[in-house]
Amino acid sequence: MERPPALPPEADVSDGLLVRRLTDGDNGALEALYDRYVRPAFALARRITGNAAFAEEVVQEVFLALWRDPAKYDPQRGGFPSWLLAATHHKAVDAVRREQSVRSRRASLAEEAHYYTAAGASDLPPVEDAAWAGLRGERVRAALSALPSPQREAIVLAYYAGYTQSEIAERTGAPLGTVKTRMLAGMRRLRLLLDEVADPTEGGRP
Amino acid sequence: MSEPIDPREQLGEHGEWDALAVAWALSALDPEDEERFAEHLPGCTRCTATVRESLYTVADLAYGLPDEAPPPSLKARLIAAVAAEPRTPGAAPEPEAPVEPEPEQEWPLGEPHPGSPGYGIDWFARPARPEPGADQRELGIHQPPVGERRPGPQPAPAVDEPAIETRRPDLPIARPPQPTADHPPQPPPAGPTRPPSTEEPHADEESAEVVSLGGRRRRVARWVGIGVAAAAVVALIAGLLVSNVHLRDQKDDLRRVVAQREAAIAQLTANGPAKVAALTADGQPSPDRRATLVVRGDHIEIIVESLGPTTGNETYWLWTLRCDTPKPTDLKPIRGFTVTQSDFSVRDIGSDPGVAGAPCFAISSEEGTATPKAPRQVVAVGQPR
Repeated sequence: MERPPALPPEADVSDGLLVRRLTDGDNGALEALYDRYVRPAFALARRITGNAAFAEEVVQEVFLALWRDPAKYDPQRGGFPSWLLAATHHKAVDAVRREQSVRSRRASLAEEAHYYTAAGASDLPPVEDAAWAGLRGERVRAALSALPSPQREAIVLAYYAGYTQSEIAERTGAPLGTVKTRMLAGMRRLRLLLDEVADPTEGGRP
Repeated sequence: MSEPIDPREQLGEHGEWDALAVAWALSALDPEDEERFAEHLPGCTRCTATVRESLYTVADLAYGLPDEAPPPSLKARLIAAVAAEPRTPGAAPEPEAPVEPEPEQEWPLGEPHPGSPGYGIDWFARPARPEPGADQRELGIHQPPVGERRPGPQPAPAVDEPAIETRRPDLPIARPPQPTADHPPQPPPAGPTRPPSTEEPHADEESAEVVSLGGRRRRVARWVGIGVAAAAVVALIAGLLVSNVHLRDQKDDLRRVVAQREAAIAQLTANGPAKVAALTADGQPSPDRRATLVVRGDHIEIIVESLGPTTGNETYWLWTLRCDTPKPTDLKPIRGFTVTQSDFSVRDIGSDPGVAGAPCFAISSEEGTATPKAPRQVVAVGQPR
């Protein structure tokens, strides 16, 4: 992976093996996995929750849940990073929806949505443009930019902001059915685009 | 080119399910759709494949964000939480372990029971033991609400000099929420009276035995080994903690707290020079430690040990002050926080310029979340060393 941890014993060990070590109660394996992937996971959780302290809780819960039951990740079904980030995303969205204070956050995010609704790749993402670096970031950015604006808007609002489909419909003024269709079409096209520009060094895909 | 309005009209018979599957992977379904799809998914191989494929896309989207490193305290908290886990990973599920409602259905990336309306939530939220701080309620630090970065009570606002002289002429020390002096001292534990365990003891890990949490001996041994090499030190700390009334009858908790404290201190001090302040009821060295502060530069973390959970609208506030004078001066409120757990937790209070070089710290109990001008009731004081 792109973030070799400074952990000599675990440095050359695969994710799958580290997860298996968790089953034996090897906390060093958990540390190694944490060191490898906490950065994208934390970035994601922070992005969704909009709050560092909140994001920390989310990330801790994700890793603690893995520790409690390592079998939740099955190497046969895909790469560990994909599993971890999908799990982090779900947990963050779930946490955001439960947290009352997020209501005010969502109000502010409505403003943010303007960035996404405006056509053009230069609007993605709204704030951290300069920080979008790295091959993967470029890939995702390019793929998102290639989507029709309504599809990109639906996906971005759902993924990065944690809105449900009806919330997206409300905020964009589109019928719910349209939002569903946009999301489906957008995700299908996104998958194709990401595969087209697939980074051959990427791991984690079967 | 007009957009399709209804997935069923435009995408064929299965189109609506496809749309739901994609949104499911995005965690974007509304509750009613989520419930509907949860019933449908287990029996639909097409949707299972769609969800799986979409989840890879979902994961890829995460890489659209720049990496961001969390503060080191997160790792410390995770390690402390792991040390507190009462059971061994991979062990046979205990009876109270949640039963996966639809075990025949497997989440494509390995997460359990997507057929549950709140799929994943059960898994994530499952507490290994009652731990009120395990969820978002623990987020009691009075920072701006999620997503808000506008000015608020987060940074210590500039306030008038606290009227400490008139209100608390001699920095009165209130009794803590859990009085300890009123209780007869608990004899130190004669030994590691661990609960019955099916594990074979390891003679070479005797020191960790003291703090082992049934079934977690090996890991705990390592955590303790980080900062405490000698069994005597562990035993000493165990003895110190005996005065924690709310723990004294719960030896498992006692061991857990010891392991947690050691793990937390070791982690929080592992990444460079930091000062540690033991906060006690009267500022004097005492076995009855209320909290431990780890101060690195202007960043501060609190290991809460026996402050007791805040109740009602109670809030704890961290203060800096001068304590080398007959009467404390220069009291400045730094940050408010709540405590939901009855015993041990590690809190990242954040950074504040007033923290660096502070000669003394205090924690007060306040009512409400407004920044206090003077401490209502000081519950702990200590100097960084």
